[in-house]
Amino acid sequence: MTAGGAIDPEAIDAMLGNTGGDPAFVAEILGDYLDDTVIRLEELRGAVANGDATAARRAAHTVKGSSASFGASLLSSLAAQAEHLSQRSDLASIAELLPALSTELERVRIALHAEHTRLLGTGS
Amino acid sequence: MTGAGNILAVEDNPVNLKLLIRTLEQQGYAVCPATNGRDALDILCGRHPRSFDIVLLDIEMPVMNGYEVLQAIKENPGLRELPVVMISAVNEMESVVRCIQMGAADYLHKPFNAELLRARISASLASKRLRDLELEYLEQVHRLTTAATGLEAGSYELGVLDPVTERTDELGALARVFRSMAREVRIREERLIAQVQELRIEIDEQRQTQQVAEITESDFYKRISAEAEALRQIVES
Repeated sequence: MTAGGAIDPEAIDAMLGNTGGDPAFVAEILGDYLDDTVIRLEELRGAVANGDATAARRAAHTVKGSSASFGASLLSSLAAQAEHLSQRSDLASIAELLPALSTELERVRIALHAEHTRLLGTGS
Repeated sequence: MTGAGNILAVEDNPVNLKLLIRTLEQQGYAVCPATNGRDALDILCGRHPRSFDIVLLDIEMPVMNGYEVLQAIKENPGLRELPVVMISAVNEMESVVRCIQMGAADYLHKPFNAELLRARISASLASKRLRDLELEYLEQVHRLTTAATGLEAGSYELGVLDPVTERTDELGALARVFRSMAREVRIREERLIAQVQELRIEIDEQRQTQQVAEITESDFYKRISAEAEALRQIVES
């Protein structure tokens, strides 16, 4: 694990192997994932503010799935909790989770930067 | 079919879709992407039913979710044989059961393992290819029985069985024997028609000769001929 376990390098290595061994492609998709996750967490925050449980569930579900694919297991787990809470329309509890999600996103960002360097030998 | 098979990948998240496409292409598949259920159905309905070998379908999507797309595919007679493999981060057993009951060929959880994905797709494709062969066989049996009915009714067209006769199995042998017999029947029929035509001409000629004889041998004809001869002699003297 890197950056205190925010990202599992084995998941990135598996991704590299499964997609043809092209580090540039994996580095690019790591960036895509980070950009998309930032947007989804903003959507989650907005959905909580607007009292929209359906939008909250959709955003949390996406973060859960994609974070699991990229080995960001804690972020995925927090998003799964948010998704579960949204199914009960418990937006207040999701609001309490948002700081933890933001903190974990920052840890993931740092870990992705390290992965990017490992893959390409340069920072993102 | 291109390479290992043609796949319609339906996934609303662009990052997941990009990753899925690259993984599938590395496994030799040709991939057509769709980012929501409505687009997926438009693509499926806008092409030949056999354009795709399999659909990989996400569940949580805007516009039209995976359950709705699966239902629409299974209710469409032209698409219902197409295997659909669900790929979803919805981990509840209830969702898996629901999809299988609705006709999904398989269900994979996200994040998917690439080797498991390959194995599940291969299994679904093998099953589909067997089903395609079965459907083709049934269609050709229908073509043969239709040809037999057509031969009886006089509407059989030569050449209609050519695709079936190319088969190397017993159905192909039966089609070749039938086509050969049908050609023989057609040749005999044409020969008979020609003979009947010749007979008709002969009968007409005999009838005309008989009519001429009947007239020239009648008393009336003989009397008029005698009178004409008498007149000719008067004129000449």
